[in-house]
Amino acid sequence: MSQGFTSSIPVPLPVGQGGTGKTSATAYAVQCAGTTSGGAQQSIASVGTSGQVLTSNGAGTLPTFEDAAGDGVIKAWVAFTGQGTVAIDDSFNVTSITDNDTGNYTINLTITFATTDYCFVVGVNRNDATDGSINNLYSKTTSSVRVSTQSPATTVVDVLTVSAAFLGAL
Amino acid sequence: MKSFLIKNTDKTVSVAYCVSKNKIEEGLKVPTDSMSDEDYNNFLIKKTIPSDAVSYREINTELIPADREFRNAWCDALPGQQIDIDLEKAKALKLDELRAERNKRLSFLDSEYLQKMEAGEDLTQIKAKRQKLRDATNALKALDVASQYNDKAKLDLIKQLSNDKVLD
Repeated sequence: MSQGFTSSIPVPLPVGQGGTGKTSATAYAVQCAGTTSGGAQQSIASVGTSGQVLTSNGAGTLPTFEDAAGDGVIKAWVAFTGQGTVAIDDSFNVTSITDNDTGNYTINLTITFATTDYCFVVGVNRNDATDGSINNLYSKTTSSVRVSTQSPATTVVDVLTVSAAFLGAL
Repeated sequence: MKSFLIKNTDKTVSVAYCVSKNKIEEGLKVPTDSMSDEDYNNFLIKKTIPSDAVSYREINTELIPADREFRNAWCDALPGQQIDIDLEKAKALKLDELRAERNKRLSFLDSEYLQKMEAGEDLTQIKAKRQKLRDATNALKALDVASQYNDKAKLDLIKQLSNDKVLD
């Protein structure tokens, strides 16, 4: 003989009982806690778009998705080997690098800057403790830069590695 | 990874090394594997090949020489997939390097020469040294490599004749 069982599970299951306090949610939406410790969970208003970041709007307000592209953010970077077998070691928003000549390389960007006033920072490693390198900006467009690397004696030389980063408005 | 050999207006060649399709998709913020091979190829060409390039072709990275000693003499002159080396340019490159080193040594000798002259010392030896330095490029200059490409024996000879030892 089975014993009778009476269920009285509330729908929606409250947060206090391990539920969400909701009967449905927006597909793919980020869920936040309720406005009180036991209040029903809340979906943020938008699921955002690819590449956006979730930004806090402070206590008492739901966060929102927004574009990550502040001008202080690095928009593209690359590290590549410039000697022997030239190769891109790693990169972001860089389509290719071009070996033009000894110590002369073009970095071709996937993105396009609004103007040529963007900032471009480059560092090289010559693997030579006694001799440094002078890096000249050869030419610059909104989507590429060409650099040459020289020894202090102004001889153009291949360098072991080149690292470059790009900042500015797109 | 795709690579392109680009022929420039001055008959030199550039070699472009491209990132993978997934890297481009990441940059463009489109879903992984959403780009067709054709779109990927067209994007690389648009972003990489200069508008003033004479021509370009895809090249297998295994055919790109790792030895860059004659990098500025690379060209695309002969039929075939390889990168060619223009011996005339290779010779000119090495002559320039040899002359630069020779001139450095000559200027050292010049000051030594003046000191000895002022001191009234014998200049025979130093004159002979200077003449030897001036003649150091003669053998390389005389080497006939006009319109020749990729000849390893000749390239080795160019290296040998431009070695600093010829200045000693």
